[in-house]
Amino acid sequence: MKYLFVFPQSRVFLLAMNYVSLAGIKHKVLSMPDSISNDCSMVLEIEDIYLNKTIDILKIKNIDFSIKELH
Amino acid sequence: MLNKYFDNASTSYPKPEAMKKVLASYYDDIVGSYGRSMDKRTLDYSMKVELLRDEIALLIGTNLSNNIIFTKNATEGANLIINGLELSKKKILISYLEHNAIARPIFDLAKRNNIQIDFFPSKEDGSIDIEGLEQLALFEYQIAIINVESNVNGLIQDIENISKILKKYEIEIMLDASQYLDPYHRLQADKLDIDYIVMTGHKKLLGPSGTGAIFIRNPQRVYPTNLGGNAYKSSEWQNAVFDKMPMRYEYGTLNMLGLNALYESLKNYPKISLEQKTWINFIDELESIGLWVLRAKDKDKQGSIVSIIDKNMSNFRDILYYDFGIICRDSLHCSPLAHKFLGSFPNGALRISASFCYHNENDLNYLLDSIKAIRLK
Repeated sequence: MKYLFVFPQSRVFLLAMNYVSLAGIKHKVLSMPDSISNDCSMVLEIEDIYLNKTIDILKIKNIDFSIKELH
Repeated sequence: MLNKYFDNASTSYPKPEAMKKVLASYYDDIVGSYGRSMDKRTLDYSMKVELLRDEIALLIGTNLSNNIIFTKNATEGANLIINGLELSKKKILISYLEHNAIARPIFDLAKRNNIQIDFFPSKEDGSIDIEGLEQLALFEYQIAIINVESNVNGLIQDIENISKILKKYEIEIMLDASQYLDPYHRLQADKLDIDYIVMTGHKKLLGPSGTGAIFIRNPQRVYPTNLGGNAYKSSEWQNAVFDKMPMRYEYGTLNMLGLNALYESLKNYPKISLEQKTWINFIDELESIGLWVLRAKDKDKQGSIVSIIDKNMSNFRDILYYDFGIICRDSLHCSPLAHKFLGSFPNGALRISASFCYHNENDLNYLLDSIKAIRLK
């Protein structure tokens, strides 16, 4: 299972990517699916084993995000 | 080797090696646009733009990093704020030491919108007279604009005490920090409740030209006068005034090259090489040889800029350059208001702007000896 982390704008996405990278969390940058939003053009794809760690880090850093499950 | 460049108030030189490296290598490989491209290299550069925003927030003393907006210079930033404010029929206070970056847009706006501009009560060197300020009917004013450090005589205003008085009357404060701000000279935006700050990257921040930033505390008060594409809510074209910061004000392709270079300048900022005491001694020497020196009266309020006038010498700058290799700037320095107030209008003065990080006592001695030699001729 994989998850998409969606952010409200580029700045927030970039900061989130930085925090996730610094924490050594494996991630992939993908284009924002049109069906989700056009607020920001990119999302982070995270594997399920990193889900909770990613959520914890982003919450600690006050990053605004939402999560979409990928089937 | 002597550093003979004394025009740091125009643009600083030299720059940190790490900054030059970015400029030299940026286009060595694929690089796209901030907020648009998703290749790794572009994302790395884009991320540093955001880290720079955080660094600048630290420098000006605010937790509101999102409210730092990148511009191409201080002038563009000042125009963005001034033209976005609703000031029709309001009264504004400005200092006598304002640069044309502020003076031109504010006087133009005043003409078009029936705005009254008054000057701060000021002392001989342009420093705002705190006691005089308290005598004014301050409740009438909407906003006050202050140049933190003059680009003519280097006077640093007492922002803390001035802002305390202005804030008692809920007057908005806009600071032009172009000549002041660096890692050794910070501001206290949150503590003093400063509303707007204008800054540039290519002076004391040691970045490249084409970089600058502004701070806007309450974005609802400033209408975004520039609109366009910014990869945010791209489906909207009829309603494109957004609340989200910094997207409310940043449109078009960001100067990612310049901003990355500026980031490296700040992360590799040099140590102090010239002490204030040495600089003040140099200024005292200039005065002792009979020059008219435009300076701050209070030595603690003297920044890294000073201007001199020799009434018998109209080509000081040329001789310094051609005979001694020294680079300075003369004339009005885009600050006619300041020169008028200081008594040096319309001819202006020869400005010496030092770098506290790239000059030392030997450089000042060489400059002083050169000036003395010219005057003996």
